[in-house]
Amino acid sequence: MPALNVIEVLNLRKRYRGVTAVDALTLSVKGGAVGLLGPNGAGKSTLVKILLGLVPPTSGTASIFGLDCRRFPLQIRQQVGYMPENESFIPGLDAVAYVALAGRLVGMRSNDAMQRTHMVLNYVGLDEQRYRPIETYSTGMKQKVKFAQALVHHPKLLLLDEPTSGLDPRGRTEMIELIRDVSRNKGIHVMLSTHILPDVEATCIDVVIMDRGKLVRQGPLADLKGADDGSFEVRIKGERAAFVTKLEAAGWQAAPGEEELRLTFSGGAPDTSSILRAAVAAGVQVRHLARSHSSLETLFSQLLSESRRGDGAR
Amino acid sequence: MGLVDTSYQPWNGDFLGRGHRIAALARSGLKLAFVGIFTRLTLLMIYAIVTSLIGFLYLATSINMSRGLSIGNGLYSWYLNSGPYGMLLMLLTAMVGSRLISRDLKYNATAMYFSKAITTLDYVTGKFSVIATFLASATFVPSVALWIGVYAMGADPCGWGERLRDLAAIAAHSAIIIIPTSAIILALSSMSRTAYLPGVLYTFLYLGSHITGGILEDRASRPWAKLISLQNLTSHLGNFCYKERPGLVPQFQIETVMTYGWQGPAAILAAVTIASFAVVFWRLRKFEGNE
Repeated sequence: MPALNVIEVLNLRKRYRGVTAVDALTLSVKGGAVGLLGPNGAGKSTLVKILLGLVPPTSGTASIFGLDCRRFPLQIRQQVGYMPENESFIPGLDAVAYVALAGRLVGMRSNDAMQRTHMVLNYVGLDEQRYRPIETYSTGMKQKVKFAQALVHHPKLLLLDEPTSGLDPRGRTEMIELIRDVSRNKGIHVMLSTHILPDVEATCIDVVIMDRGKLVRQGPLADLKGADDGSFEVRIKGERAAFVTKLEAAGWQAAPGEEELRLTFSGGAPDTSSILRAAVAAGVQVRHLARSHSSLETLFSQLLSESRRGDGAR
Repeated sequence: MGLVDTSYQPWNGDFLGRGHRIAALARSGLKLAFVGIFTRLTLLMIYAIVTSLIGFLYLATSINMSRGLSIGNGLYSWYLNSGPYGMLLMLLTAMVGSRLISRDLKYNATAMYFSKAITTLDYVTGKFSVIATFLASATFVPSVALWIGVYAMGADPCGWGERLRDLAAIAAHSAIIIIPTSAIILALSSMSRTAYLPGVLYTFLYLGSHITGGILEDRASRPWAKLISLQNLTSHLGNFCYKERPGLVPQFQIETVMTYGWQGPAAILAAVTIASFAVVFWRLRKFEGNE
């Protein structure tokens, strides 16, 4: 029997009073750490709500671990931990009471919930402060409590909505470390919904990029970043103009950057030795030559503009 | 920091059923309900009234020991329908019920609740249990204390059948007060993100309806006007729960509130209760299933 995909979405649509939030979305997520990327209004939150069974889709299906989100929302929520974006707490309760309550609401026995509460609060790094009312916490501590309440029942999948939002650099680093550790060492799949691209680069292996309710691209982050146009970046010491002339004669197109040149081969498979020959001919020294990898930010902007151009053409 | 903590272990235990999850929600709410100092003081005053009544019974039975004292069962109705007690109950309802849902909305606790294995119905049931249990501690429990006091002092000589019927009447009368009151305050609480506003609204509604009903009835000779008062409705219906057994103390009689039968007032109270629950579900609709 083939292994179940963690998330399976098929031709999913959701319309709110004439506005299409999710439009014919089809995707499957095998597991690990997945970044759900998209600008505001891309449909990320709606997708998360549909996955949690909080919002019924207008059409199409969504399932988590093979469980249909519409038919089995409670069973799904017992296997999923959700960390909301906004502040979420009950004033008057301390972190221990709050996280233990979260555990009991999933269905854990009281003593199991309490034991796990202390374990996850230790894990996220909340020490003696756990006995203080949550409303007295800093933003970083509140984020840790939200993370802990999502983790208390050891879910198979964590849905994290902007987990680093509002955090200072230290808090952000800690949160990223936690997400990485959970996904790599604790056997928990993670879906990180965010528009902070460096967070995704730091934690995720795969990405799902959405825009205006549609899937723009999905795949391993490394492949997406590497799936460029076969371009190279080269840094030289010497006269740049002469080198560019020689390169162009060899069939390369050179786009000058601040320190490096970005080279794209215009026809067929690129011949990197021709770059070195051009350098020798131009009398320049090659200091750095490597395949050019787009940053996620560049890739993201490029994919979004391509997607919007495509929509416009239609 | 915690990342080097290797004590994190996976958990593979079984999940308990829905009832357990609702009970967890209710327990947590109840703990918070008893926190306020004014809430505790008000509750204390309610118990002080009952204690005073039991003290009075003790004195009365001691004085009338040779002749015997028959207090009848009007005492329970008199207690639960009395004005001062009604005011204290109104204050308790406003203080405890006001925050029940509004606080969750204000601090976005609903995001946590509804990402767990509970439905909107479970959430409302849990919240209803909190306010209903709390109000039961201020209606049913002191009334039962009174009932025990009456029979312990031998203030109402009657058979066990009648005694148990009185106990059932007390439970029913308490339920008539608790259920609509809880539903109304939950509805008001779901309509605001400000913790105190639903309580203020409830107080206005409770007092306003009673005062307006009284004025219309007295000044404009409109007998139906009494039906708009929540207190009149619960008192009137509560009186139907008892099979009257008059006693010797004239103050402790079942007092006629309205001349109507039970059907009309019961229909009004049921409609108000159903409408209140409808408001709660409508306000919570966006958290599950409909938006």
